[in-house]
Amino acid sequence: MKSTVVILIVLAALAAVASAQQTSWETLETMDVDNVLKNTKLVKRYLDCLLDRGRCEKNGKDWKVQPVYSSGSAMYAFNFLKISEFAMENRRLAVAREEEQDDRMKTFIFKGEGHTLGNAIRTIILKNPDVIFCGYTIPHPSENKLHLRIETKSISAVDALREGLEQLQNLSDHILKTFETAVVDYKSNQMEV
Amino acid sequence: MSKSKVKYSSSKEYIDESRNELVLTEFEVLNAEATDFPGNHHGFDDSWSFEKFKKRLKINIVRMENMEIEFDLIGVDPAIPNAFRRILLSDIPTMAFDKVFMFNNTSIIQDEVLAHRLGLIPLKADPRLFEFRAEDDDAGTPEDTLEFELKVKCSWNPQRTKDHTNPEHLYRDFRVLTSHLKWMPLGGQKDIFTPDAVGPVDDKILIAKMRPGHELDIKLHAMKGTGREHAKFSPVATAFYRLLPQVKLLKEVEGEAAQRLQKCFSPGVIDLVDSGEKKVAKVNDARYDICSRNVFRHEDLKEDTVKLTRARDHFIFYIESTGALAPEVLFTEAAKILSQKCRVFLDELKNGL
Repeated sequence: MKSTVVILIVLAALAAVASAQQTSWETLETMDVDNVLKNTKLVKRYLDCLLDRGRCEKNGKDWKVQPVYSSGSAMYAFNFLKISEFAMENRRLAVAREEEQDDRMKTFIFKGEGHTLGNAIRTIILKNPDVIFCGYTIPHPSENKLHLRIETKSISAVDALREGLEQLQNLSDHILKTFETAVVDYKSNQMEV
Repeated sequence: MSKSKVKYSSSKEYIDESRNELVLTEFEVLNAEATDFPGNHHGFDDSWSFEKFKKRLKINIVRMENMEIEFDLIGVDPAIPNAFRRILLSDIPTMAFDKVFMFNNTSIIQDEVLAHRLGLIPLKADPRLFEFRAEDDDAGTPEDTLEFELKVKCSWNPQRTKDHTNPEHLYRDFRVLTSHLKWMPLGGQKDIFTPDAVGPVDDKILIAKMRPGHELDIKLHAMKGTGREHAKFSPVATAFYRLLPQVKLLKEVEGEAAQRLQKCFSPGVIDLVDSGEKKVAKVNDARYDICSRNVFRHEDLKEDTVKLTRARDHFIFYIESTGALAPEVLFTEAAKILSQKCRVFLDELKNGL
């Protein structure tokens, strides 16, 4: 009797464990899409599962996202994820190693840029007194990618990049204006002569 | 090494030199790296200030002709003029022949060689009035294509006489020139453009040579592209810059040595002025010096006679256009493209990383 009770308890425990390990449902309706969008890898994993491109797994556990046609809001969330993945793939600016927590040091990946922008933005960012380190590299000449690393003392690396880009934009606009004025002056001087 | 031989009158002179000048010695070029970043020099505030930049920036146009411009860009870091130079070479679009339909080519120039030559012909069409062709579009639209026709037949001159050997006399149309290219307007193009505005820059460019019996029947499509894709799309013959050379005489050089000193530099750099009975060397204008450092080949003029430097923030820019856009327009387009690059990434940052 005792042995059968023990066996039953063990079986029940096993069943409970098994059911816990079984597929758990996560609904697209209640998913916090904004949070998911912050992590590009997570978006890709959700879409891999929904579009049958890959495994359905989260944190090592099997999960199944509830079918898309279950409701209008679920369809909406699904489309939103698809559009975001497309936009993310066509994005020209990304951060390497997103999981690093320190905001003050980041490596930015620019797609389709080279020394033209890299060296110019580097010299501007280095003139920011809060920046400790700024350097750029083109990891391989066959790939059209630029890596720019910024490390700062207190401001966030994204802020340093934004300031640098704005300053470079103001600089080139000012050079444009000054050059156009110089051309007009030269032409009028030639007329007088 | 050589720095220990140079004498400075004060530490300020040393610091000014390392911040502002590139020093050319006999075997080295010193101070090539920029050091004016915040924290490097004690007592200097090198952090970025747009106001300070606006005050320091000067642009002087020295010469502006039809296809060439020479101007000075003063007060910027070398990364900026280099960015402009790279954009001028590879990122400003132009129109050039990209698709060649050979219906008949019986000349001795091979099809692919002829097509290559046709692609290199510079066209006057303003690329800003055209679109890029879509990747999968084979036929092309009037918004992104210019169609030209090249139909030339070489024949015997019926009035030729036996004793002449000059091809000018014997044959007709044996030279295929760009003047033979005929523009075929597509869609509404004839209302917008004239043949003069979109044709080749020069009418006398030789495309091929033929003999009687040879014939060319070719249709050409010109498309918009950038130098990055193929060098034929580059709008500049070339664009380059150099730093302003500076020559300073450290001691008086007279007589025969002065004449030798004058020959060491490009003409116009050193002048010989009368001082009493002798001629003394004086620096006139070092701008067009080639910086050959010939001075160091003379033993008596090597040490402590001249100081050769280059101003690190004074760039002499030369732009020669191939004919589509005027050189001053090219530089403004380059500045707009650099600004546009920054704007693209600023927009992406705004939408969240």
